[in-house]
Amino acid sequence: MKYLALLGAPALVRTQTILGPTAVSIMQSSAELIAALDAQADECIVLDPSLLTPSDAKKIAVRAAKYPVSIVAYASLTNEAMEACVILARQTNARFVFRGSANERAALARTLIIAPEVELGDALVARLSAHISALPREMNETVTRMLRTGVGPTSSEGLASESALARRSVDRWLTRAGFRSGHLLIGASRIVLGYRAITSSRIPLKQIAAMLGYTSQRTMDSPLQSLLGVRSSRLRRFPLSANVAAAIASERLVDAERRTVERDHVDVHRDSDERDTSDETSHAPLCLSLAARGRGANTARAVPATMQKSRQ
Amino acid sequence: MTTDLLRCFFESLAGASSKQAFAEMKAGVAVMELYDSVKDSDFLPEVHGSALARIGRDIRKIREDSTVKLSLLTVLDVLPFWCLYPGPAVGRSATYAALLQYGYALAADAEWHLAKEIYARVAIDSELDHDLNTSAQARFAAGRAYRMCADWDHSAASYSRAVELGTETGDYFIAFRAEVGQANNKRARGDLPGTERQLSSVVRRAKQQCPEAVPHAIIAQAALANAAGNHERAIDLARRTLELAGDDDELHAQALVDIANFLADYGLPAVAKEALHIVAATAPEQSLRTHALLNLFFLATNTTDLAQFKTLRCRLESLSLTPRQRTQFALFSAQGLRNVGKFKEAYVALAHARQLAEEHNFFQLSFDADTEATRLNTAEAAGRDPKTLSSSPVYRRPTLSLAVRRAVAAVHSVSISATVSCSPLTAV
Repeated sequence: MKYLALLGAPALVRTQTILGPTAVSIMQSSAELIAALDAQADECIVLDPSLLTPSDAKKIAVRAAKYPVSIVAYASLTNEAMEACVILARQTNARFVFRGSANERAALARTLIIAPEVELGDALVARLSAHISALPREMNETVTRMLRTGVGPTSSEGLASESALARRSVDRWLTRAGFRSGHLLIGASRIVLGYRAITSSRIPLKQIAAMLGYTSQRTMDSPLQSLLGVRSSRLRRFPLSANVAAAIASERLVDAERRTVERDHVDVHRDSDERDTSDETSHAPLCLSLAARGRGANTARAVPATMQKSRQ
Repeated sequence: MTTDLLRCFFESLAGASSKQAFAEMKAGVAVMELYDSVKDSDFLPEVHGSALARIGRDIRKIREDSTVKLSLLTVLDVLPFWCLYPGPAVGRSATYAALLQYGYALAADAEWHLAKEIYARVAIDSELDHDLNTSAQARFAAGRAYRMCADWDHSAASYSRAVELGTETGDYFIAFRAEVGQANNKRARGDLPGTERQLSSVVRRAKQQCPEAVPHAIIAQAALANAAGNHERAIDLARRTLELAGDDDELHAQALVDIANFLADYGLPAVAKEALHIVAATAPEQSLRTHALLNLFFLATNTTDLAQFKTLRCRLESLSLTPRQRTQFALFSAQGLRNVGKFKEAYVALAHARQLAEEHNFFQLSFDADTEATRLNTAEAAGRDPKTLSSSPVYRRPTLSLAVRRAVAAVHSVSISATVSCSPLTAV
């Protein structure tokens, strides 16, 4: 992955130390950065918000909406920097590292190395949109953000807390929307976050597992196996394209047994356009669907539609 | 604002030793009050704007050499971007980061009792706000601050939570450093085998999962080796930390202080003094500079350097010391006073050291005080010249091992670069 850096001298040196000098293209001005964004795809921008005017930040946000790009804002805590930070936070999926923290170096390294696979996140959200839209508003926002950026709660309790719901309510809503579990959703968000590092870097997998919050490579392999059917070492050797990975993961995130049963319930919450999208989702590659069903049939609890409705 | 935080602020205001210190504390109270108000109601320009401007004016009047001035202004800079949930979290995260910087500034001034309250506040608020990364940092910082205040229970709880949060969020740097903090707590309370086990485990795991945390664990291992009497290993480990520190100024200064301590214990006080002088003049944190001064004081007591003993004693008396440092200061004073033949004063200082050690559960220092008491009694009973009794026998080795020679070379090299960059070495 290419990194476009618009940074002051000390921050640039630090970034180059982490990524290696050849991985970083130095941008001299915000105008050059914006022009470079138009010309290239599949890159990560590392910028100092204090070097941006609010209009520059808006332009970058517009470009970021058009092309998949990961943004890391290495920000100082000043009034000027914060204006650009707020614009980037509102309009992009930028991740922020603030200067002066105790773990500044380590946090910057982690944020730069673990850049979310935006394409995978977007594809997952698109494929699961019908299910996500069946969730209450706050939960909907949290799940969308988790899947799109890989940033979000790291436990079911955290998901409940961010959704302002009780843990059991979260489970109930997820079941109603057709998801298998919150645990798998969290696993999927971490896959989005670590996918690029696993598939296209040489960083030891143990280190990537730690950066994603797993205690070992084996614990990282568990959600990968559940959602993509491969271990991290195999995924590194034979990477899947983002679209294929999204297709497999979305199949396995949703309860295969109940997908048709739940549809009646989900339909209540969505309009006809969304229904079309859901139909596309259900026609995912046959071999993958079969694999997912074979696994799901043994584990999922089939709940009759009438029972689901009575729970409301 | 919590009662504990208010009480700490009022105690600091009551005990302020100068106008500057009073103004700093007053500004701190005002900023925290404003933060509370903004946190509850979002930033309302018509309500908070005038207060922000007034507090900003007051803070700008504080002298430029103040450690906390910049951090307080930073909090004021970012507060207007506070936006209540579910708005963008960046303003809130920035505010927590700024408050943490205020905490670091207080800690650098050795105001640990206030710093711990600020850290605790940030830890709770950010965790409730789902900002677990910031909360992990705050818990880790709180663990250290509580340790400095000899509040072992809260320190253990804070470190423990920092480990949990750091692991959960993938911030292994914080998780491992918090584990090193837990190990340091064990060492301070005399559990050397437990410390060794925990540190070895941290080094092993950090090498695989977070190499940046390794030097922090190694420097703790060095301190442990020194405490166990293995000075050569301690010196070698500290030198390795010095090499691994890179551009991390704080770790660099910490490693230099530790190397100096170990060299002094090994029997090379001249090299130790050289290193300590560098740290006392150039370390970024006041707490590190104080630490270096305290160690220079220890060297002065044991080499019967009377002039420097008196100068440093006066200087340290005027500084804000942590409970541990106060205990050590009292103990070293007793040793120094014995060396100059002032037995009565030595007994008073020793009693004070014992009282502090018992009050704060510093078991090792308590043992040291007992040893010192025995030495004093023996000297009096035998009618011997007290000056011949060194509290900690300083000896020189006829030949130095390779590890020690490397460490001495490293100190000389740092000393030369500090002199070249015009550091005020004469300040001490």
